[in-house]
Amino acid sequence: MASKGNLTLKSCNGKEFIVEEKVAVMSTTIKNMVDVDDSFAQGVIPIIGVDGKILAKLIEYCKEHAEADEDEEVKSEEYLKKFDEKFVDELNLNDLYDLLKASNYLEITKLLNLLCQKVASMIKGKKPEEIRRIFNIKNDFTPEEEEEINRQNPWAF
Amino acid sequence: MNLVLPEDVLAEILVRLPVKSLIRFRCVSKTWRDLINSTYFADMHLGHGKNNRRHRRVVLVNRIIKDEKKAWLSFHSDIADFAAAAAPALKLPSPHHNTSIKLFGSCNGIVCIAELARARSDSNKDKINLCNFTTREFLTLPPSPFGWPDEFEDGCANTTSLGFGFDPSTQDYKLVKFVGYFFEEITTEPLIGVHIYQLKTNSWRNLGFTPTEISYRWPFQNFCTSILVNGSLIMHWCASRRCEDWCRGILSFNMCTEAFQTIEFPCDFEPIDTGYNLAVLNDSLALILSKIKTSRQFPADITSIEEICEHSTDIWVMMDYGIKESWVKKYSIEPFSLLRSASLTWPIPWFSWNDNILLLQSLNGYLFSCSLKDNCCQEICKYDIRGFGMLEAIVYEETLVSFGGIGDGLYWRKIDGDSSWNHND
Repeated sequence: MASKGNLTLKSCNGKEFIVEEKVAVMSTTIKNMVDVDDSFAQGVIPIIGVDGKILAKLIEYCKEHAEADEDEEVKSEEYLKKFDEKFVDELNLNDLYDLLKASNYLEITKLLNLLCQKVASMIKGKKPEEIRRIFNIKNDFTPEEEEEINRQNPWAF
Repeated sequence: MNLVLPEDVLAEILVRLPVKSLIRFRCVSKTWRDLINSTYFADMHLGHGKNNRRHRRVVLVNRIIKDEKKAWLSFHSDIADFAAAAAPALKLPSPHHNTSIKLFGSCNGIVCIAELARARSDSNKDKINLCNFTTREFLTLPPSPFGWPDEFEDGCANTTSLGFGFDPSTQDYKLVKFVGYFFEEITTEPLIGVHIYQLKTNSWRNLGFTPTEISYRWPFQNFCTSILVNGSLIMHWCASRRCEDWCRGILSFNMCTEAFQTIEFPCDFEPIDTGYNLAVLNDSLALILSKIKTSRQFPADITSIEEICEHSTDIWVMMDYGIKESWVKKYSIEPFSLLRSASLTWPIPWFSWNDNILLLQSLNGYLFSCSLKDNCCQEICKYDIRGFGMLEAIVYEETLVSFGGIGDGLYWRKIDGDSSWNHND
């Protein structure tokens, strides 16, 4: 049971995390739950579809940013920038992908933007076949269809 | 491993990519193609680009090689690569001896580029084109159907100027065309007709003449400068009062209300000795005035000028839009070393790049870029462009905006990177 000002978040594989409310409400989804239904603030908030490892990552990110919002002097903009860079650089593709989905579902906008930017820089110069490999996407075009698209804009390839 | 991203997350990722990557990624899968091709995504990409100006702007220069009488465009994503862009990126139709190709503005990645008759002849022979140079979509407008006004005696007409922009109130792109009607009796002041073209309906409207109560109703053939004021897009041209009077001012046209107004220049000047152009500097209207004091006429071959005349350039910014008293002289560029060695600067092909770069072309064939920062102007680079005629430069954003997503029945086509825009050439 979390003490006052704290919330308990429970991952889909049963891991519980006690976090300060200001950290948890970086997620708009959690904020809405707490605002609407007081019982969430007292009890345990289930985070559907997010496992303990990813939830820990999310909390790590939100903690830094919530603290920075509160006290700009201790955690300056520059500090946060460095933290963000390190945070995304250490992620492997699977974690990156899981975090994207989780931050989208939990509406942690800042983190979602950061992750999207990371993926965008990662794929910017890649070829379509490399993209398919990275995202495990099946090519559902016939060779003729693909040829036709390539023909329309040869300068982009 | 299942790596299917929710479509809204995928859109959030792709919206951060340059257009070239997006066009390539259309053949990743049908889901990706449909997302990238959608008008919804094009609008989202446009909005994201406006909020994050970096990497979104490229300049294109209208280069005409004087001796070969060939014109071409080149595209630059950084001021550092002007020198490298010696090869034409896109050939233009060889300018006819009595036409000129001019840039008249850009909006949401679509550039208005027109081939206009130099002589006072039939303005309806002008070719007005809209092009998204990023996606290479190219649209030639139908000629405006309005001929010589019946109520007047004979004379001749030519296109005086153009403007292009987006009207947020109707969510449509509009092109404004000014047609000067010149009468045989030369003492009669010409009238300036206004024709409006709208992309959605692919049709022209006749708006009548620029109102006679407006002080400066004759816009010059320079590109139009657009600024958003209280949600309305307002276009601006340098303009004059009448043909035999050298008074100069600014003519503005509100895309939303279609009303004309004028704005006074901040200072008096002798137009013969002054080059001028409008620009946008930090979202404010700016006027660039180049004062050239010379005691003699230019020879026909301007590159032979070695004698230096007095020269300086002032940049005025209108701090409160529409209020004459708010013009402030923000920058004053004395003829600094590079410019002095390069003799005279030609009246100003200018553009802003991240709002603080000024281009100056000198009469002896050099192009200079200067940065405007902290109230001073510094030379950045000098490029040898001898052999080219007068340059024009314009900034546009890289967007996915497609004519197909704007109006039905628009006949547009794709142009290849290394070919001319005229298929029959």
